[in-house]
Amino acid sequence: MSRHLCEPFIDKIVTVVMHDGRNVQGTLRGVDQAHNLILENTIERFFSDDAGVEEVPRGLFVIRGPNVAIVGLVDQEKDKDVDWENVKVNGKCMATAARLSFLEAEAHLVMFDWKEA
Amino acid sequence: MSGQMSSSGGSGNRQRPVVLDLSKHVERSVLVKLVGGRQIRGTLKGWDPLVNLVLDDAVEELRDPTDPYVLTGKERKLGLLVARGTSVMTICPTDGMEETENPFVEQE
Amino acid sequence: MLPLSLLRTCQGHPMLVELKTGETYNGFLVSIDTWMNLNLREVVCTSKDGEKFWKVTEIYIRGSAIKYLRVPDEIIDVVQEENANRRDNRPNSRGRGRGRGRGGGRGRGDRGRG
Repeated sequence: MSRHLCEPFIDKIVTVVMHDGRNVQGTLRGVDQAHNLILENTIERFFSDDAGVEEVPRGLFVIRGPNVAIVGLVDQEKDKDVDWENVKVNGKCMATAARLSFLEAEAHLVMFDWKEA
Repeated sequence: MSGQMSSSGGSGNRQRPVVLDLSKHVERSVLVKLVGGRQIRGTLKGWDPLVNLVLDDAVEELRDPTDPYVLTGKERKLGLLVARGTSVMTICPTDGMEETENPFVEQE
Repeated sequence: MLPLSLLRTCQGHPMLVELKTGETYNGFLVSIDTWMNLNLREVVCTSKDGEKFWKVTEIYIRGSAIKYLRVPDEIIDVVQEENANRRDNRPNSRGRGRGRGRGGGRGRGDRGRG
C-alpha cells in the first residue's frame, strides 16, 4: 500500500525546500495525496553570503503541497558534521535557490556538494 | 462538488461546510484580497459556494505601482461587480479592522 | 497522520498561516474543510515586510492561497491519542473500554499507518 513517494521518509528527518526558496528541516510526520506535509520540531535555515547559516526553530509545521519543491532525506551523520555556523552561500546561488520548480533541486544539490567540499 | 456539499448540508459531519458561510457578512462591508494582490472593499450583496462574490459600491484600494505591498491610500471606484471565486484569496469584514502596533514584540 | 486531520484537530487553537503573497495571519482556527479553506478569528495580519499589522475580527482564507501553517507543538500528541482511541474502539466498540489507547503509550513510536 505504498500510496505516496514520501512514505519511506515518514518519521525521518527531511529537508524541504519551498517554492519561495525557503529551507526547513524537521521530522516528517505525515503526507497526503496533495503532497501536504507535516513536519515536527522544524528548524528553518537562512543562508547568506556574509554570515553563517542562521537556524530558527519553527515547531510544528504544515506545508501546502503546491509549495513544496523538494523533500530530501537527511543523512544525519553528514548533517551533524556540517559546521553550519561557517557555511556561507554566495548571492548567485541564493538567487538560483529562490527560482521556482526543479531548477531549485539542482541549486540545492549544488549547495550541498559545495559545503562538503 | 462544493455545490453538493453546501446543499446537502454536510451529511457526514467529518468536515463541515460551515467554513464558507458568508451569509453573516451579507449587506456588510468586506475587504476582499485577490490573487495578484489587488484588494477590494465593498458591500457584500451575494455569494455562491464557489466563492464568486457580488460586491456593491466597491472600491479598489490602490497600491504603489513601484512597490505593490504599499497601499497609497488612494482608491478607485468600481461600483457593482462580481469577483470571480477562483481569484479570491481572503475575505474579512472591515468592521473591527484596524491597523495596530506590532503585537508580537513582547512574545519574541 | 494526514495533514488535514492534524489541522482539523487544531480547531480552537491558535495558528499562524502564511499566504503565498508573504502576508501572515495569526489567529484561532474556527473551521477548515477538505480544500484547506479556513476561517480564523481574532486575527492579526502582518504585511510581507513585517512592518505593518492589522487586527481583524475574522477572516476566510482560501486553501489555495496558503503557503504553510504553523500550529502548536502539542497538537501532534492530541492527534496521536485520538488515532489510538479510534483504533481501539473501532474493531470491538465494547471490548476494552476507552482506556488511553495501548497501555497509555504516548510513545511516538507506535503510530500505525492509518
